[in-house]
Amino acid sequence: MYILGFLLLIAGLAVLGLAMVFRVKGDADFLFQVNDRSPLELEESDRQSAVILLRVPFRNIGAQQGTLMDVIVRPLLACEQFSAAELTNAKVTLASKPRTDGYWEAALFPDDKLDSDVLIVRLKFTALQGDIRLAMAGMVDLPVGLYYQVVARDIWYTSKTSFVIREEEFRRIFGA
Amino acid sequence: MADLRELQLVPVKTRILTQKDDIVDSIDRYARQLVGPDDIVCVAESVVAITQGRFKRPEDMHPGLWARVLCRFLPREASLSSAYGMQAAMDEGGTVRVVLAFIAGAATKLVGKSGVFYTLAGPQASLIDDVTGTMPPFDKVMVYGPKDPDKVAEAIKSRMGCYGAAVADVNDLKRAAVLGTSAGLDPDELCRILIDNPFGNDNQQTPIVIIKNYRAAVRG
Repeated sequence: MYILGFLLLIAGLAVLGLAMVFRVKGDADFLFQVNDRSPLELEESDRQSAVILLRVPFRNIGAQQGTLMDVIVRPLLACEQFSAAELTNAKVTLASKPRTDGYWEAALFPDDKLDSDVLIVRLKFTALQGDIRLAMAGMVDLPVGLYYQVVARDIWYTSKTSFVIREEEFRRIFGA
Repeated sequence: MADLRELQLVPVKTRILTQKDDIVDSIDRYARQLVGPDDIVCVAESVVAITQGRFKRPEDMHPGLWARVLCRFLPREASLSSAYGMQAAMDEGGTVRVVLAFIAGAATKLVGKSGVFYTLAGPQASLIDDVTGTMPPFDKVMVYGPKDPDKVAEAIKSRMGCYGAAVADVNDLKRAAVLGTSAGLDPDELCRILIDNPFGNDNQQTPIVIIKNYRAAVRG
């Protein structure tokens, strides 16, 4: 009985010890610095459509390296609120290894070297009628979600952060 | 030993090969015109593995407790440092074998001897590529080592009518390993020939390298 209790105690201490070791070792932890994002830029425009761009810096602030398996930008523009233009495309890519095809190439971020980078977010608006600049004159605040998937030391997970592009920013770049 | 000065290394570009491709058919399609009876055809091991369907998404894997614990003790840059890499090694080599290899590796590390874990964990353990280890669209999967690389090499040699064939694992860090060859080839010599990574980086899409004039260089 005593031997069983002793063995259980040892096992429990071992589990506790391991848990503490892993807590100290930590894991990757990605921080998307949405409050430090760049001002909105008008990247390209024709009469009917426009592409706007912004940059969101991020860092791996964790104690281990981690992989961003996927990052998806999800702007939420309800037609009940704004219907002069449609948000027809939303892409995100890495500044250090930019792509134009909308594919997110999985990227590893060690915590001691390349532990930071910048997301480049592009949103394309297409006027439903007439000129895009006139259509965007009435643009509203646009909530944008960033969903991301991480594979690090432990089980993969997804998480989300978000920010808002204010209507004043749209007015500034569309000259309204 | 071959006179390396007589050798010419010819990388061959292909489209992205997938699990729907047969590696021997692909080599025939892309390199038939370039390969002669004196040549050796080398193919990158990760591409062979992909054509064999030997890859898995982390989302389709369920690391057990042993994998989640043991991976923590490997250096962060190791492919088995993630729970998925370690689980992949256990799936291939067996959980008991990998756990025992870990214990032996840890014990021998204490006396300054490294590499024992990979030696004992099974041949696949050192071949597993973690996510980001391969170019898109395989950047999000674990790629295992190829199965039966010697047989693959023999099949390539037979189809192409060349002097020999090899399945190689080479990188830009002056590390080369030959995983399988057709009969009669010296893996160590092939490693020396391939040490400067004529396969190039992933984006170049040149998984096939032809060592031209090998027979003549050996006889020379």
